[in-house]
Amino acid sequence: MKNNEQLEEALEKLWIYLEEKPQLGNTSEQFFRRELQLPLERLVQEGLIRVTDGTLCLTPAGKTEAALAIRRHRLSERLFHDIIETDQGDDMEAAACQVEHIVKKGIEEKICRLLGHPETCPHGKPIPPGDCCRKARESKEKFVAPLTSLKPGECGTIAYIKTGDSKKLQKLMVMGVLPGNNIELNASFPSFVFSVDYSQYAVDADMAVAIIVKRGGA
Amino acid sequence: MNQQSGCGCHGNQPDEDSALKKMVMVGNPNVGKSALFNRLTGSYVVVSNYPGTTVEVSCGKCRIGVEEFQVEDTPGMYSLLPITEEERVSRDILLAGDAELVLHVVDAKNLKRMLSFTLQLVEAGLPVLLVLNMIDEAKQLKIDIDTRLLEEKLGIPVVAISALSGQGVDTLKEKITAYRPAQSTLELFYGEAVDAALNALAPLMPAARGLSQRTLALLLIQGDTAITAEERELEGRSSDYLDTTLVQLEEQLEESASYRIPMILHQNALKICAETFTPPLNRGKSFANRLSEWSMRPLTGIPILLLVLYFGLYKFVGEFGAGTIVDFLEADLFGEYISPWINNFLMTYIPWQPIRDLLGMDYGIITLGIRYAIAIILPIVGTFFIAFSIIEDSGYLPRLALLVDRVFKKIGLNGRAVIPMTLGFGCDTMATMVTRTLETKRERIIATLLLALAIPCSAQLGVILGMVAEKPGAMAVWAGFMLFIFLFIGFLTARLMPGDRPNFYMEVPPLRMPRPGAVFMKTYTRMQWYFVEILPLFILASVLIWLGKITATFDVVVSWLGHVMGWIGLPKEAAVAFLFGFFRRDYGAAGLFDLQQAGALSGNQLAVAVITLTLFVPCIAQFLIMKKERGLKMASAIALFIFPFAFVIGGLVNALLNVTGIEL
Repeated sequence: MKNNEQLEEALEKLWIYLEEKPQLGNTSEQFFRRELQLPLERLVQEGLIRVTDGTLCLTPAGKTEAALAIRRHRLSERLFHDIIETDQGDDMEAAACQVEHIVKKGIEEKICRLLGHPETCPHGKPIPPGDCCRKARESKEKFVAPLTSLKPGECGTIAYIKTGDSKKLQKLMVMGVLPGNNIELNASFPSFVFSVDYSQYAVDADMAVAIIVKRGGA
Repeated sequence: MNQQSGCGCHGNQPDEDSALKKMVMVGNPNVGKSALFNRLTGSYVVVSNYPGTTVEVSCGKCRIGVEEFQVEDTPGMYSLLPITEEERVSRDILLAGDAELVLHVVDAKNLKRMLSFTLQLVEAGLPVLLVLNMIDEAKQLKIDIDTRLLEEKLGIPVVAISALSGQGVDTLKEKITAYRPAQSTLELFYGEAVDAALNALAPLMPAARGLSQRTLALLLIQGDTAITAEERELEGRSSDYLDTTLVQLEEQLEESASYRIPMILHQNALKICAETFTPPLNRGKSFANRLSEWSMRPLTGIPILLLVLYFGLYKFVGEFGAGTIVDFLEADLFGEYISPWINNFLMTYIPWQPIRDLLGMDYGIITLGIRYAIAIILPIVGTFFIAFSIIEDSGYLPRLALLVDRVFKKIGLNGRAVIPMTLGFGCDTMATMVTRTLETKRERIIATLLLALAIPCSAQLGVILGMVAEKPGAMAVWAGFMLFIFLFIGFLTARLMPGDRPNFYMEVPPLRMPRPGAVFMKTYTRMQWYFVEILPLFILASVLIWLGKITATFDVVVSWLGHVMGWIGLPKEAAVAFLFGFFRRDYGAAGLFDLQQAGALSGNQLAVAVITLTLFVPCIAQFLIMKKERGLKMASAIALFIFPFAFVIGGLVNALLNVTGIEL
C-alpha cells in the first residue's frame, strides 16, 4: 500500500517534468534521483521508465500509468474544490493527496461524471481525459457543467450554485437562480446573458461559473 | 435622480402629514413602482426602463375616497436582506414600522420569482397588498393568473393592474380602502434546526419594530450585518449567547442558512404558483427579442451603439440642438432683437453705467446670464434629455452595461456604472447622486472622480460639439484624449485604491417602444429641475462678474488667468470663459462658444480649450453634491486634483501639437 502511494507520487512527478514541462530540461537521471522518493531502479524494473545516456523517459506503459495517477490527483482536487468547497490551498492539496490513492477505476469515473468531466484542475492544469470523458463527448451525454461552458441558445436545469461567498449566493438567488429552475444561456460574450423564467440577466464570468447546470431540456 | 424627493421622507421627523395614513410601495427594481406612484399621487417621478432609477424615497399624497394617504416610493429591493445601499434605505423604512399599508409591486409575468419576497413581507407581519403590475404584458404572453386563488393562498388582497395604462387602478383603490390587517400571520417552516434557533433568538429581538421578531431573527441568522450590529448594541448581555446559538445552528445545517432560507421561500412560492400561475405552452421570437440579441453581441452591438451615438448625440443634440436651434435663438432672437433692444433701452432710460452693466451690455444679467441659459443651454440640454429619455425608456442602457463590463472592470468599476456614467453626459450633478447605486465605496469614489473629471455634461458637450463640428480634427483629438484620460485615470485610481471588485450582475429588461407621453413628461421634469437649479446660478454669476468689474477684481483675476491661458497656448480672452466655468461647466463652455463664433480660436487652440474645459473643475452644484455624497474631504481632494490637472493636460496637448507640427 505504502509502496503503491510512493509509486503513484513518483509517476505524477515524472508526468509533470517529462510530459508537461519538458522545456524546463529537468530530464536527467541525477535530477530524478534527488526528486523522487523511491529508487529509479524499481521504476525501470516495472517497465515504466527507460534510462538512456543519463536521460529519463516514460515508456508507453509508464505514460498510461502516470496519466492515470495525475488524473486521479487532479480530479480529487476538483472534487474538494467544487463539491466540498475546501479552501483552495493547503487544505485542498492535502485532502486530494490522501484521496487520490484510494480512488479506484470505477469510482474515478463516477467522480468524473459528477464533476461534469472537467478538463482542468482548480489550478488550471489539464486533467488527462479518461474513457468516460471521450464517451461523454461522443454521445453528448447529459452532465452538469458551469453555465460558462454552455453554448448560446443552450438550455438546462440549474443543478446547484457553487460559491462560498454568501453575497454572491444572495445575488444569484434573488435573480431566480435556484436549483430546479430552467435556464437558457443567451449570450456568452462580452458578458454572460441568461434567462430564467421571463427575466433576462447579465452577469460576469465570475458569477456565471458559479451556476452549475444540468444540460439539456427545454 | 428624483425630482420629487425634496420632501424629506427619511427619518421620522414630525410634520403636518404625520397624521395621514402611510402607504409604502416596495418591490424588485424595474417593476413599475414609480409608474404606480405617479398614477396614485398624480405627481411625477422619473420612470425608466432600467433598474435603479429611484435612489431616494419619494413622497406624495393620494386621496382615495374620503381618506388621504401619504405614499412613499422606495428604491427597488429584491428581498428583506439588502445587498446595496439603496436597498438598505428601503428596508429601513419597513423596519421603522409606521406604514399602515405596504404595496408589494411585482412584475406579473415574473410572479414565480417575486412571490418569495411577498412571502417574506407577509411573514414579517407587515400589512401587505400584492399588486401584479404589467398585467397587460403578461396577457400578451398568454400568461393566466388566478388572483382570487392567490388571495386565498396568501391571505392578503391581490390586484392585477397596469400602472402605465391605468387598467385595474380603480380596483386597487377599492381594495386599499377596504384593507383590514390579517388576523393571523403566516409562518413558514424552515426545518428543525432553523426553527429551534428562531425560537431561541426571536424573543431577544427588539419588539415593536416594523418587522416581526421572528423575521428579525431570520435576518440575523442569514448574516444581516445591520441587524447583528444593532442587536449587539442594544443588549450587551446576550452577544455570547447569540454567537453560540448561531454557531450551533451552523453546525446542524448541511448548507448555509443564507442558502436554505431563500430556498424554502422559493419552494413555497413555487407551490403557490403551480396552482395560480399558468404559463403559455411555447414562446415565439419577436422582433424586439431579435433586436435585443443583436444589441448584446459585440459584433452587432458596437455598430448599434455607434448608430445611437451618431443619431442621438451627434445629429440630434449636436447638429439640431446646438446648431439649428441655438443659431436661431442666439443669433436671430437675441443677437438681432433682444440684446440690441435691451441695450438701447438701457442707454436711453438708465443714466447710470453700473446699472446698465448689471442688466445689459457685455456681461449683464439679461444679455449674458439669461441669454446663455435660454439661447444656448436650453436647446442643447433639452435635445439631450429628449434623446436620453428615449434611450433609457427603450431599455437600451442595461445592454450597454453588459457590453462595457469587461472594460469597466479594468478601471475598478463594473458594467453597472454605465448608468451614472451615461447620465453624466446629461448632468454630472444628477449622475453623482446616482453613483449611490454602486455597490462598494471604492466604486463610488472612482465613479465620482471620473464624472467630475472626464465626463462632460450635456450643455458642455452640446456646446463643444457645436464648436468642433466644423473642425473634425479638433473633435477627434478631443474625443480621443477624453477617452484616454477616462480610461487612464480610472486605471490608475483602481490600482491605487485597493478593495473588493464586486461582480457584475444586472437585470436586462425587455426592449420597449418608448411612449411619447412618457418621454415628454420625463424631459419636461428634468428640464424643470435643471432650470430651477441653473438659472439662479447664471444670474448670480452675472452679478458676481458685475461686482468684480466695478471693484476691478474681475480684471485682476482675468489677467492672472490670462497668463495661464498664454502658457497653454490660448488667447487671453479665453480667461473669461474659464472664470465662468467656475460657476457652471456649461457657462464656461458657452463663453468659449462665443469666442469661437467670433473666430478667435485656431484649430489647435480649439482642441486645447475644449480639452482643458472638459477636464476643468466640476461646477458648483456638482461640487456640493460630491460633498454631500462623498464628504468634504473627498470632494475637496478630487477638486484639488482636477484643477491643476486640467491645465497641465491642456499645456501638454498644446506642446504635443506644437512639437509634432500638427495643425488642426
